[in-house]
Amino acid sequence: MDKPGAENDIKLIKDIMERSARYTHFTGLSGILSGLAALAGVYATCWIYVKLPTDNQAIWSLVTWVLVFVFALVEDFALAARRAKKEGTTIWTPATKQVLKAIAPAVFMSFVISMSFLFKGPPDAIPGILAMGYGVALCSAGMFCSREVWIYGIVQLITGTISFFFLPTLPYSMYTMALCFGIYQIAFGVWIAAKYRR
Amino acid sequence: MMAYELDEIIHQKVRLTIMAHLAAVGESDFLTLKKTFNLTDGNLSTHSAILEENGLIETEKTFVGKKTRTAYKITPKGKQAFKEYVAELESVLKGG
Repeated sequence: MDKPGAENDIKLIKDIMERSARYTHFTGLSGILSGLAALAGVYATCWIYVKLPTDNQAIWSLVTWVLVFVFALVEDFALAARRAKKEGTTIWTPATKQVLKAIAPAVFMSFVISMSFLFKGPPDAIPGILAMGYGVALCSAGMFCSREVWIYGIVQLITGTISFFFLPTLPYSMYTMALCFGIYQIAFGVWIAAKYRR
Repeated sequence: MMAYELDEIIHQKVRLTIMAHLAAVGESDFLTLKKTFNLTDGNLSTHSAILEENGLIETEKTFVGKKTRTAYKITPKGKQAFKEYVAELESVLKGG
């Protein structure tokens, strides 16, 4: 074999190995549904902070957002599994495992810090922390997904940082929650659905 | 001699694609390979059969609902052959 032939083969192998490890199960509908759930969560949290006694606010906010998180996870998994089944493939691919490993540290860290702010105060800073944590998780996942995921992570990171430093009080922090986990998430879902027809 | 024979098996675009993909992910299936790399059914079946006959990959058929899922897995012999193939390419690059 000659040198240009070997060079081409090495390039082909690198390209294939990169494409192979890419996660492609995310669906646009899943993004839209989790965005709507987050908007419902924002509405519920505002209600909690206006109507409930101060002692109960932290725990009910936690319950609300755990429910939103679980709903987002379940519907995302269900839609991805449905899509995989329709195509005759499986959701549990090496790329899925890599994405989970990549996002786990950021999700864990933002959960721990948020718990500290929720119970020790002030809870107003939590939306900024969650948006930054989500941004870091998306940037990590972006290494194994399409480029849009990484771009979306950067947008979350910037918005979360602005919110954390410049708008850390209610009701502005709730606007961050609505923007990052509601509006952005829906827009991202529409973008993915339109671009990849999935 | 053996390495040369294995090289000849891998050194074909579709078979190299299958081997590189399986070397990256370990296990995959017919539809993922077909869709990811725009391969035809016939091409994929023919070349995966050659790789299987030579012990470089293993095939397993299972049912997902009513559909058959054909899964491919790289064997230890396949991993070694792919490693040697890449090393051979690198030595050509260095030597040239």
